[in-house]
Amino acid sequence: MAFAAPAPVLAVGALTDINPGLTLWTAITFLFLVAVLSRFAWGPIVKMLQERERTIREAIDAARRERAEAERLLAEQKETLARATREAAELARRNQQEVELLRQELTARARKEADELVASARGLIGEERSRAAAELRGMVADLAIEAASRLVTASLDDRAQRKLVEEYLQQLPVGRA
Amino acid sequence: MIATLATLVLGLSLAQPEGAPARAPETPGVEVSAATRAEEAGGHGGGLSTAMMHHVTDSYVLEFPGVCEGGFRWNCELDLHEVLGERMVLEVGGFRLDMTPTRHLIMMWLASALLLLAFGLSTGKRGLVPRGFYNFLEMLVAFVRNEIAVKNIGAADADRFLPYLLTAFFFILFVNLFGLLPFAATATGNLAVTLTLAVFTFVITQYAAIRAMGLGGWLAHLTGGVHPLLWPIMVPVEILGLFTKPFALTVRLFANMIAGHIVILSLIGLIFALGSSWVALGSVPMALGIFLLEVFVGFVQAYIFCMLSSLFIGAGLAHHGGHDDEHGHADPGAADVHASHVAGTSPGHG
Repeated sequence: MAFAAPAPVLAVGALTDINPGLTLWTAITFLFLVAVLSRFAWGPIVKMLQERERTIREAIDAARRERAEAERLLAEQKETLARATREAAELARRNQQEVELLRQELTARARKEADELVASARGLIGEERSRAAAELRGMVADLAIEAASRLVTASLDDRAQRKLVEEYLQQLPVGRA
Repeated sequence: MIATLATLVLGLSLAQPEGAPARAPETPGVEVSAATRAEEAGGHGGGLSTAMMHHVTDSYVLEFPGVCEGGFRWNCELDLHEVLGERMVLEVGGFRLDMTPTRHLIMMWLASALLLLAFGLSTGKRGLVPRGFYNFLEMLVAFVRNEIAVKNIGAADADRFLPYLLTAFFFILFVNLFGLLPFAATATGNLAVTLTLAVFTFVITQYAAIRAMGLGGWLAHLTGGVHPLLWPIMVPVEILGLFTKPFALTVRLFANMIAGHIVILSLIGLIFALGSSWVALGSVPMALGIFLLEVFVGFVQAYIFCMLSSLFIGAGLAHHGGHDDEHGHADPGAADVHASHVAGTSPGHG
């Protein structure tokens, strides 16, 4: 072991020289590295990379699936909502129609009933009038008969008879047939 | 770009060939031409360019701060040749193979140890929801897998080549970054190291291509699918083409890692070359900027090495089932089938 020997030591050579021993050593070192690193590093790491790629791909696929599912659900719900709205509107429209119909019907019936009432009242009035007329006619006849019978029973002179009749007639209410 | 900058700054600093005045008494005679054999492993004597080359070249001498020569010193030296002697020198059939560890090898081992430590410590935090430093490492692993391997090789085959690509990426990354630490050296700035890595890519590429096409298909591919009369021209070109790819890989990584260090050393060297400590006001911030750039380059070069490796592998795999689309001479019908694999086939960029 000589440190800092002042005498020129044999150098390996110039820049472009190729040292066969170094070549062989490089090959040995490199092959050793390939063997060791393949066993302990590249194999596990590449497996891990593939595993991660698989996991990520699966996660992305799952996310895509779930998103599609969510979109489908959303569309379904939207459709349901639209249908419900449509149905409600339809229902309201139909209700209104029915109410209108009912109102018209009720009005018509009320009018009819009123008309009938008026008609029946009118009939009743006519009936009463004719009955009253008949009654009056009977009463007039009775009165005439009574007056005649009075005339007969009193057997008065012509003047007195006339006077009696006129008095009687004046007792009767005016304007009645 | 860095290379241009490097030559520029290097040329500037070499404009004062005899080094800083402060160093004048030190062995001016050893001043070698700029071609740089760092003959002097001990000490930084012998001119600025020698000192710089000494920093980026490999040697059997380790330098580190420690206690030596009876006290604390910043540049203790340990010559592994003297420690180990001839024990690590193998004689294989008359061929002398010196397996003595060098500085770059020690640095590579330290970076590798850090790499193992980083993954060893952080794996406890592994989980479906990552945390802490492991998260960062896993991000890099996921990047190499998804952005480099899967895009260039195809999802079906990518995982088969992942152990190699990941190890190459992290090995280069850690060695690159480790080389930026004080007292460390960049092992990827050594042709022997980058060449070995490129040879691995080459072997795996050819293995993948032969597996995909069969030996017959692979040989047929070498003929380029042209008329047999043209084979004498085509086959050498294709064979040359086989080797340019790893060659480009080798040189790219090496040059990029060397260049950054040379730029930093040159900027610091300007202080001594111009002989004024005022230069430090300019050159140190610039060197810091380049240093930060080097951190980025450390990542980029690891990425590029992996990217091109997987591109070559992917192109080799894509050949089966028809002529290759890479050279543009295949029948037009088949050309677009694998077009995605060859987005940037030209290995010349970067």
